Amino acid sequence: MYCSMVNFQFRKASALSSSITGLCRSRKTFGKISKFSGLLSPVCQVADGHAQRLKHQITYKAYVPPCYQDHDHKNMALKRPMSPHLTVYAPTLVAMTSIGQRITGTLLAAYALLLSGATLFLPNGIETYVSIIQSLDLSKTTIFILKLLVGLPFGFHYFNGIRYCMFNLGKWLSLKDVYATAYLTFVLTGVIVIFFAFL
Amino acid sequence: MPLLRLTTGTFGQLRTFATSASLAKRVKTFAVYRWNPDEPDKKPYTQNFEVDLDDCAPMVLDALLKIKNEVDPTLTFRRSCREGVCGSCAMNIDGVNTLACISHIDQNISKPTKIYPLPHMYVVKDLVPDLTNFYRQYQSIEPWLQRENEAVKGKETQLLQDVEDRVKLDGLYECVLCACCSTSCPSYWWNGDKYLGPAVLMQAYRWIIDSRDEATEKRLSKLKDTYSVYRCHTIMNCTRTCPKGLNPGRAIAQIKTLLSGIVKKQPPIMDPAGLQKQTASN
Repeated sequence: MYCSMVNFQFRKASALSSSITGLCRSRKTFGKISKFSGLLSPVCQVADGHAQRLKHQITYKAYVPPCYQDHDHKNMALKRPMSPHLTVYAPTLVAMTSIGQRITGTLLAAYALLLSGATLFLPNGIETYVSIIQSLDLSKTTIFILKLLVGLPFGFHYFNGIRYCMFNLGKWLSLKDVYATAYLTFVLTGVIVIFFAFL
Repeated sequence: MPLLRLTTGTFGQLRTFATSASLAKRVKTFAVYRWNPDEPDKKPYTQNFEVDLDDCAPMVLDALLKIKNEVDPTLTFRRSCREGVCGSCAMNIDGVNTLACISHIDQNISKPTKIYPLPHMYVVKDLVPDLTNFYRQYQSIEPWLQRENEAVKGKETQLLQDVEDRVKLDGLYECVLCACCSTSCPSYWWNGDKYLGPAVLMQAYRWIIDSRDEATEKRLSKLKDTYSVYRCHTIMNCTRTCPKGLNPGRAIAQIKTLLSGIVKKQPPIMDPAGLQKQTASN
């Protein structure tokens, strides 16, 4: 390998001697040639020849393919942040009806559990608790509002549930229908819940 | 004629007046998410930029480019076609995912426009998300035509498709894979590693119902597990946010009907191998 480089130098020396300034400007590319600086004009001599030799030593390393990391670990290793989601996303009607369905569903399940737990574990009959509530002597408006609040999850979950069942069957899935049925749900919920609160 | 000569030069004067900086500027504030990977320990922050709307083209991408050219060249975002067909500039603008190049700047200057990267994605820099997972999921559904008997090289003939069968692909093939829908889905936020997301599922559906495709059984069987399709709870944020007006939510609902078996893929109206058989018999 070194022999071939020396031959290259002898051939090139004559051509290069006429373009010495050009050579000096591109000293970096002709770095190896500086090792044999004796062949060329002293203008391009390197001060610290020993250090240059080490710097231009080529070492070959076997190719090691990068260790596979799944998406999350790769990004966490790069210390990349997660872009904001709940804090920045607009509360669209579709998303709110969907989370409302989930929340009212949980509420209804809680109602059912509380009612069954109460019937099992609370002493005395249902009449005692009815008379306790009656003895509180709440105004008609307060009772109406309380009935509204308790009834809203039922109404909303029921009518929205029909809407979601139809989605699963493949109906009412165009954006226009999604919004129209959402407004219909709100209207029906309001009507039914107010009706039952009046009773 | 003398009257006309009186008016020479007035247009130039008018134009100078109309474009002068002395006129009141309509200044809009843009609040843009910033994070620099060269300083990874510095938390992401929001930087406010002021843009004169009278001196800016109407789309959000134009405002971003104006900021990058005139105010802060380090602001980084993806962009390419500037006409809503490539899907590069997808980002969260005022709380909703769209393409910045076709999203008009809200002319109300009292409120700032908030620009964030696509939600729940790792951020490479500023508004650029890491979409490698999204692309890997797209690759996993094998988005190419699969037939049982591949045509002999050099003797390929056109695969026939009836007009009605082709109409089934309308609203599916136009997807530009911008990832706006997938990153708007809360289900994809929480299960992005295993749930495929609306964009990829709509493309899976596009290949399932293509009358020329014969790998329907194989495609559907790959989607039968709990996570790939069934994390969809028809939240419908995807359809709401699609900048191309497509309906991924409906496509997913139709995949679910196919998976359950209540709907079966209809055989093609026109045999796709019709021309091939004709040339073989000739």
